[in-house]
Amino acid sequence: MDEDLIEYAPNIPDNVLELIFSYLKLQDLRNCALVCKNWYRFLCDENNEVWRAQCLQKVPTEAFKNDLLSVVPSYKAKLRAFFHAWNPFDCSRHVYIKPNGFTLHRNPVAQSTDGSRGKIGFKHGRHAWEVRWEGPLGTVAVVGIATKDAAIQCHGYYALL
Amino acid sequence: MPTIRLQSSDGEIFDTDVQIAKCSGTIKTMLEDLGMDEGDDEVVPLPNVNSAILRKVLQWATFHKDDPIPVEDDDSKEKRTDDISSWDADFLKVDQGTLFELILAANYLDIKGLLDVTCKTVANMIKGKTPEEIRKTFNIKNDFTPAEEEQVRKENEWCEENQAHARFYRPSTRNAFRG
Repeated sequence: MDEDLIEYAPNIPDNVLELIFSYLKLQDLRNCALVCKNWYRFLCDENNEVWRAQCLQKVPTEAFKNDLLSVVPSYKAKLRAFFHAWNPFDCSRHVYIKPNGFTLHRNPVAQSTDGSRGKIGFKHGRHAWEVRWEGPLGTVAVVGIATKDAAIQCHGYYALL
Repeated sequence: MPTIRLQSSDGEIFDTDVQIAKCSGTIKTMLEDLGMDEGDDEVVPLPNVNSAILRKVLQWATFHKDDPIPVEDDDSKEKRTDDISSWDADFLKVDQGTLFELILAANYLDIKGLLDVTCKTVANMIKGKTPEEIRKTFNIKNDFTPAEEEQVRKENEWCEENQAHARFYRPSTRNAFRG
């Protein structure tokens, strides 16, 4: 029977793989990509139904309502962008993350420095962000790199980065 | 009750109730396209399904013949895998070779309900396992070189549980004013 199995599991047609993977969570998909080259190849199609469903399940629908994510090339990349975007539970109390998950609003509070962190960070590699400013900028707005240990709010005007 | 004759790849003939046979989209289309009338003595050949598997498939189709038409899945919701009926769970207590043959047969015959429940079963065998455990479960050979494996690991680092979910939407300890 063992020999039969070798023939079955890795050679499942793509539409069946798609159905099986559609029942899995992101963490399981990550493990599946590491199983063999055929499964990895299937999951490399970042616009397939599996990634589409993962993306629609997690990224707020508000994020699709304008052209916010239109330059992000695939469903998988959109999902990844959302994970790296602002964490509503890890920002200054003067900061509000809009329902689209990508727009940060700072209440105009005097003598306060306010920041927000992404939901997940990076360990290595080069990364690029596109930042769009909306509305009045207040005193100073700064974009930069911080660690998970950096303060997220300070009284007065300080560099949090 | 009108019946048709289905022939498995190894030549066995199955006299089957037409209504049951028609839960297969493939057979349904074949009957309509060929304009086969009920009562014809013609044989429908199914060259991709052997008799052991066809018997199982027909057993499943007979039990489920009165099922309502399944509703389309909602893409914005995570799909459940814990809703397999006890009859189906018992039915699918088979060796893995049979399970995969049932999947291929359901796929070929276009029987959505059977394909869904067999794929769910396989998904449940994958859930929560490490890549190595998955390979072991399905007897899959690791055909990555260590360097390739490392590359894939890096690409998908952001999907990892501790990365993407544990801190996801859970308030981390907020840093108080540090002066």
